[in-house]
Amino acid sequence: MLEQAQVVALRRRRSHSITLVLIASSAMVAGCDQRVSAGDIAYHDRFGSADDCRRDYGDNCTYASTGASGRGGYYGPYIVNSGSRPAPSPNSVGVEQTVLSREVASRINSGAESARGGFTSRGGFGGGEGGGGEGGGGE
Amino acid sequence: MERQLSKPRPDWPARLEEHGFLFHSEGQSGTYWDESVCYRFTTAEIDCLDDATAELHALCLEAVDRIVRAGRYERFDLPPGAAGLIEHSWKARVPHLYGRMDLAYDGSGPPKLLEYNADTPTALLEAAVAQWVWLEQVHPEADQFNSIHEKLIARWRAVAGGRVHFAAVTTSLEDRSTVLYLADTASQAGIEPVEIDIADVGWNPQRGFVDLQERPIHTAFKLYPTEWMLREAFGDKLAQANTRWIEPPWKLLLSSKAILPLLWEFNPGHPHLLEAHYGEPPPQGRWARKPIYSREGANVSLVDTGRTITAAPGRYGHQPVIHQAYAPLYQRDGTHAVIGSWVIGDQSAGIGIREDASAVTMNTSHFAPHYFV
Repeated sequence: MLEQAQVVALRRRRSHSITLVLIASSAMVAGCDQRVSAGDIAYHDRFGSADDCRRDYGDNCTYASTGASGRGGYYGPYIVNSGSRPAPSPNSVGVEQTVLSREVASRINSGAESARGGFTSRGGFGGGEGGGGEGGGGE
Repeated sequence: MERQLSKPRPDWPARLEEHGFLFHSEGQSGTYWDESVCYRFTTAEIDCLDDATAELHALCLEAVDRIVRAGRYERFDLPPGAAGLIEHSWKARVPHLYGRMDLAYDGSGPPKLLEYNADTPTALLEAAVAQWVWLEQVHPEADQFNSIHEKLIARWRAVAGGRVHFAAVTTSLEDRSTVLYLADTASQAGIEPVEIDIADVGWNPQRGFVDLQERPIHTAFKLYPTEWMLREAFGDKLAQANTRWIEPPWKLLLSSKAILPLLWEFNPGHPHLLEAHYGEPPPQGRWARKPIYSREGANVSLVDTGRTITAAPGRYGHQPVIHQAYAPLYQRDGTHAVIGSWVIGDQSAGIGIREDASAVTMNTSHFAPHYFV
């Protein structure tokens, strides 16, 4: 029969020591970046006007003349690693396929050229100043 | 309850770091973890804190239910769409993981609720792990009010399975360490944790929220305030997506100081609550003035008969405020101590103590370990 004091102690004190798995091994899986290579298939939305493009992609729009016809248009960012032809974004006139040149692949990998995985946009969270936790010592 | 001087372990930084506690010397003072002092409690005092925490948590859940049923969101200054998310998550009983109540307690009289950090509490790794290791090495004969670690593992088993994403501002060492610790406990519950910076969370119209590998995020722990998420670019996507967030949106009600006057209204005179009002304070008496979404004590001020006697700086000065009756903190040797009392699931799970030279506990505070006999 346990004394009352022992019952209280058992209620609060751990019966085993703390084991940390990930902190000891740094084994947590992190998401990895989208990397592309020259020759990869990519897509981008084509728009009839700069305003239409801005509605879907904000500032990530460029004007370019492409192909032998020299046909010009407004384009959203490259859509890479999408697996298959993505559906067009809401205000585009369609999706065009392209093959990444070495130069464009390099720009995408360095971040100089904006790119999206499929229709994924990022940066929609995280605008707050500093960390999000409350109660510790650091800012 | 007694503040005691204590001889620091000669290798304390290394001891802390081997358990992932890397931010022990962060903060404006350069010393966050301070084991040159510690707190000694009696068993009766620990019982008092344990029982008060459990009772307060029950009052809080009851308050959320009453607010949702009556639609009383007007004082929470919610962005569009937030009320619907809160209601949906509450009615669906989307489970929660953890929270930390800040209590005023000096060993005599009932503990008083200062606020409930129910959405994104930190000071977790130091409470769950660092002070436990300290206890085993410095006071092996004593006990500690601390079953946070095993309760977290058990709670993870109840609330999630499979893959869970852990999102935080990863450039913050403290936040990243906290999330890594939580992921560790999740891993021990059989969960596959995936770390992601909150800014890398993607939105795909066909798949909802996705990670950097374009995998759908089905369940995500986020150490990032729900009220911030709601006001950011993806805020309107929260209602469209099937992602289950931990903590769920209904915890926002408890993490806002706007809950405090409602708790008082629902339970007037309760021994663990402090009188609280919206807007301007009553003309007499001493009050703590708190913006409803202030963090780390920012913009909190103490008002005595209409006169401000202490005011913390910050960036939340534009927010609506509440006034809460002033409750003196435990005070010795020029420091004030606030009790951080942990709730894991719906259970009281342990405490951590932060000290500050100011009567307003801020990010200049120190963490001091405790034991009880």
